[in-house]
Amino acid sequence: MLDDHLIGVLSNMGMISFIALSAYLVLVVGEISFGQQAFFAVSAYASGIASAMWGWPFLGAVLWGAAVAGLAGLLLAIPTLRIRGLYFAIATLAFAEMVRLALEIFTYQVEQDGELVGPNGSEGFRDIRYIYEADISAGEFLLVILALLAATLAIILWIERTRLGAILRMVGEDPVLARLQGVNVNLAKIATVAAAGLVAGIGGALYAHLNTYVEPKIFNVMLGVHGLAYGLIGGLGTAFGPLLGVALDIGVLESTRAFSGYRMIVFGGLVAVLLIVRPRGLLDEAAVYRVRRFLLRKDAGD
Amino acid sequence: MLEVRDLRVSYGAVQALAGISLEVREGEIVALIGANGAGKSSLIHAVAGLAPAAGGKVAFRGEEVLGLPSHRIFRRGIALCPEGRMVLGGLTVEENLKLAAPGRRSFTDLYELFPRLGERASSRGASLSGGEAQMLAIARALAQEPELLLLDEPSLGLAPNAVQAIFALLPELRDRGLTILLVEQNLVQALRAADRAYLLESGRIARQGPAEALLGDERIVERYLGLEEEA
Repeated sequence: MLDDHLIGVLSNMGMISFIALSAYLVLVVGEISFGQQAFFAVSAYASGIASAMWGWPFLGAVLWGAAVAGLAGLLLAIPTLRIRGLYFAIATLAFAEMVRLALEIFTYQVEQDGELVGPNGSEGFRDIRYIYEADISAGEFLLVILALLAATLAIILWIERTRLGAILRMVGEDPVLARLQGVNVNLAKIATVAAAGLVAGIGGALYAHLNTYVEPKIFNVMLGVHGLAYGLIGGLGTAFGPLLGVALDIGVLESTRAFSGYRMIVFGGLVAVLLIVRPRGLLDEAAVYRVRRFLLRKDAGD
Repeated sequence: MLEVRDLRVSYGAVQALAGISLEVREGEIVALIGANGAGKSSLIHAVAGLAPAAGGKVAFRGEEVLGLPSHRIFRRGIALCPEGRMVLGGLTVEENLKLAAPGRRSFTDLYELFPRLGERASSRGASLSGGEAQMLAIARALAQEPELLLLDEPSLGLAPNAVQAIFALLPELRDRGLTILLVEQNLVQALRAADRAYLLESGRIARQGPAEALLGDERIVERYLGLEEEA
């Protein structure tokens, strides 16, 4: 039905969307993270270990990877609670590099059928073969990715409509005011950064299983920068914003030949231009507000 | 209702409050007046948990609140309406109120108090005049029905008639059961609205007493009116 190239592009977009949503969550509470790739990496390894070495079922391995990534988020959130702005951004970058360098020396292998399986430092982690052994096709795996993405997106969109969502926006807008209105700002930030780790973790687990092979250098800072840029391009007014950013970059710039060779130049230029003319992205709060009002009016007219 | 004992606040080596004691009784409007830098804002920031105190006690309804995080002090019933208003410009008046009290559906009681806000309920915060923004800031602080309102410099940067309107409102709030601790540089307006007042100078209480008595003291009024005209 779909050709392999298209399945590959869509799978890629789906997996990267988790990093984009993860960076977006941190942006909602008013901080910038250059380190969400760390959670993607942690979960890629943790879930790979669970399925390839411990014999866990796939979904269990994904949940485990996401949980470990959420825990890593908690680990980052607590010591960085008192720092803001540029300092927070630097701390996330340093954290992600620490994770990547730790994976460079992380070795944990067991013998299976006469072969060593497991992470082997900078050599990476080979043979995360679950989806081949279970005979899952690329098209079927794409459906798994899209289902998990849809579920994650639905939860985030739902939270944004609740009281909690309003509180998180207020924390991002003005933490002092939020405090004065009775919001436990520290708790809100810790919970959000941990949740962001978990969301990136889902993507990392999917990535490891689709590619069967991961190595530390995949999870370098450029992955995090892209994840962050998707929200900034697509917009911070709704969780659809980062997905729009992913669609523009991977769907249009990377996958069509129109920009081959110039992709990074066009992408960088797009980020720079948007930061100047539309600092909160294409789907910013004002755009979301207009769309919502338009839809409400249409509802009322019916 | 609020008892402050020997409160000290320092920023590094700079002492902002050198052991202040004061009291606010239920149903009172108490004004804290004094020049810029006298320590007025430090005091209410310390009470609201925004500034760390170096020592002293702050009891609200007999319970110690000093050292609690701001959000817990707020939940005990003390709301601070901050200087500079901090209205979220991208949101409408009603959305600003909803953010302050997400559980509430209707704000008619607040719109009754501030009819102008009712008229502008769906205007964006950024389009409000200074006086309207100040009203919104006060309404927002009241949205979760606190018992004590700490009001920080409500007249700052407002046109004279807006200042009048804000101060005319305070006795009305008091008559509805709210207790108010008002920090203000605009000495005459503050003393006219207040029941009692404390005059702060360099982190200490220089004078205290019924607002009328302070208003009647020509030395105070002349000195601070002089300052006010300069400002």
